[in-house]
Amino acid sequence: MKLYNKILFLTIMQLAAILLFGIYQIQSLYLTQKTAFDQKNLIQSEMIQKRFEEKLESLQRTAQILINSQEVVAGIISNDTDMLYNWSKLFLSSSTDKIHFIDLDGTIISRGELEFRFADDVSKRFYVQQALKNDTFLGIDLVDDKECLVYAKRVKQYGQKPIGIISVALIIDDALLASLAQGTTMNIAYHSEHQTLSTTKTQKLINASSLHVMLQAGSIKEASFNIGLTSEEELNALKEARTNFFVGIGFVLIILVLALHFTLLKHLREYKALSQVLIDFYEDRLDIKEVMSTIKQTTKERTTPEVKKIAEALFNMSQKVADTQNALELLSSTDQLTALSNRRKLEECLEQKLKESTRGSSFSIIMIDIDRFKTINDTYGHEIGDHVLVHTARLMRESIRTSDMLGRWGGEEFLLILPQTSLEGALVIAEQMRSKIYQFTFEHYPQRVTMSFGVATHHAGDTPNSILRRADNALYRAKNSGRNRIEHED
Amino acid sequence: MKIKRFLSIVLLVCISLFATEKQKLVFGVNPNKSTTEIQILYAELISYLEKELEQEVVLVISKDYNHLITLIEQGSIDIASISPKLYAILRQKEPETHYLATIQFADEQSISKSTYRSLILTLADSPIASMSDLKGKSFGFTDPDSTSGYLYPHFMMYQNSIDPTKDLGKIYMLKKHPKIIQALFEKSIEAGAIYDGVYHALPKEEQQKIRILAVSEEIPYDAMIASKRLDSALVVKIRELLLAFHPKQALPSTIAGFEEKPLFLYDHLNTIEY
Repeated sequence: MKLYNKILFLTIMQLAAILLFGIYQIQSLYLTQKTAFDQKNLIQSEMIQKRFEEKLESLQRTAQILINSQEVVAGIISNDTDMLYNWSKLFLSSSTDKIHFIDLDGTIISRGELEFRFADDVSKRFYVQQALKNDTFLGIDLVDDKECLVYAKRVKQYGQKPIGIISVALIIDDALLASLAQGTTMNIAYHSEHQTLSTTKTQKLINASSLHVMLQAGSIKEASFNIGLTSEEELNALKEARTNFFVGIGFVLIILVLALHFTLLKHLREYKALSQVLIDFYEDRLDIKEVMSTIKQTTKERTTPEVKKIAEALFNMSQKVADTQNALELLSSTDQLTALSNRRKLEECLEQKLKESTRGSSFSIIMIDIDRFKTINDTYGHEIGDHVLVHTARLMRESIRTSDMLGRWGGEEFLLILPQTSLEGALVIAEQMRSKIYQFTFEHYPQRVTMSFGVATHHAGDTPNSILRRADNALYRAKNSGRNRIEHED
Repeated sequence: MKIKRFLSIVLLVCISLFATEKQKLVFGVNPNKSTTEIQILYAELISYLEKELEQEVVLVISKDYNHLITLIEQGSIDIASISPKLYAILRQKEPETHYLATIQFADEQSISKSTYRSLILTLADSPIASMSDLKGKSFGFTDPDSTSGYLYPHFMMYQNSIDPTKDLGKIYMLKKHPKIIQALFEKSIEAGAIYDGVYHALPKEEQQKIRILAVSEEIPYDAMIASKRLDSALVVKIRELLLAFHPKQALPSTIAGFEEKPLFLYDHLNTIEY
């Protein structure tokens, strides 16, 4: 697997793990909050249920208090509308909208809420019939054409003789529903065959449940109270937060992966560029100097510190390779005894000069040979011979220009290549050399050392052999003419 | 010695407080109107008495007609304005009250009158055209102890061969005379009985909506009486003050003054059978 793929895979795995952990955490938080939300709704539902029961109890309590009054009993017996009105109006409240005293014929004797309205027949009303039949009624029925929670009870004189009925009623309206739901986030809806009420404009309740009320079946069909939520704003906010978190995490993950992708590409491109330089080097598409220049360029460019360090290390390594290469090259082109260029180097240089001569650059060469060198060796030994060679070479090197190339051609024979030099110029230099060596006194050799010189200059169409042959011929003549002299081509 | 002096001071303070409390004159009335109406009706008279007697006068409205007799018998009130019938009943008992005067009311022509009449009414558009039509009809009385709201209506029904205990339909006790009118207009009752002052106080257009079925003979208005426990000199003074009382403005259905009436007029009410 590529490094890029490895890094990307591992990083994505880590990010995914973080993402999963985050999802787990937010999901846990959501579930905790949802539980709390459900618990709150349950408590609120129970609170509403309790309030509703309190309303019913209040109706029953009010009726019982009035029934317990002897004056009320007397008022019912004597149809004392005024007294019953005065009593009942004291008990009208937000929990009691209507208090009616009804005789056994089902005729209203008094209304607490309407002083002058009475004597109407309500004997056909379900709650009246139920109270007359079963002693009490607690349920929903129409009272004065309004749907009410009604508690009706038969009133008895001395607890035995029925004398009439008291009905205490609470109108089922928006105010009642609002009072039940007050201070909660719940909503209540009431539905019957006649009307539909709700504490909210939105009729649809979420998680609706019926109010558990112990009401007797009344004349109103399909009457029911439902409690629920019109919206789950809190939960929705939580859901939204959860979704936002997930989306955010997903977005961050994508951004991070992209950022990682581009960062990796950038870094790996630099590494790849460096490795490509090395590949080009060993596949001979680049030499060491080109490698060095390319790497040097890389170190100058804006790049990461790591790549820069590697580039610097590679540059230093290339530098060493180049130095070693140069040393080897020098070693392979230098005569070890005299430290002058060897024959191979001289041949390369001669080839180079001949090439340059085609562009009009002229040169001359001098073939030099130490006279009677075999005698020196034979007489004084090779060490002295080498001594003569070394010092002769040093003296010659001291006599030439920096642009000149002096080398050991073989044995006691030397070749001097003089760029941009005419035959005359070459003869002058040869004479300076001859004279200098002739006058030099060797430390370990007591005899005078002489040298013969064959000078040739470049002619058009020359080859290495042709010019060397002319110089060699001139040297031959110098030897044959008595040595320690200079001869040149004809 | 110190203890005796201290106890003497405490006793003196208690007597002073008691004396201060007794300076209030308690004035009892029947609940024949709403509390507000009664307070307005007697406001000028109470203010007049307080000023002349230099005593605070406390108005007490009894729970019902009969309750006023109880309050008088208990000595809880000093003077009272009592309905004629109640006074007649009270006179039959051991006489424990002083008769002070009879109330005069101004009629719609601002003429002061010390007598009134009981009326039996129905709505003008009612099918009840005469007393005989009352049979089986719901009826509103004020209070069993009311003269014009119960006693005379019963008397008039008997005179027209109607037994109110048997022949009428549902019977309701409305206590206050104006409530009879309101209940009629609401059609809660089909007929009712009131004293004529309430009818005359109605606006013309409302009077036109009412049909009068029967009118009683003259009945003396409420009697002002004083408790036997009250100081005789104070009783004389109150009587004089009542007879001298003249309101600043004699409006219909307001107290126009007082006059002494022969007591047989009240005793006559005991002879009425019902």
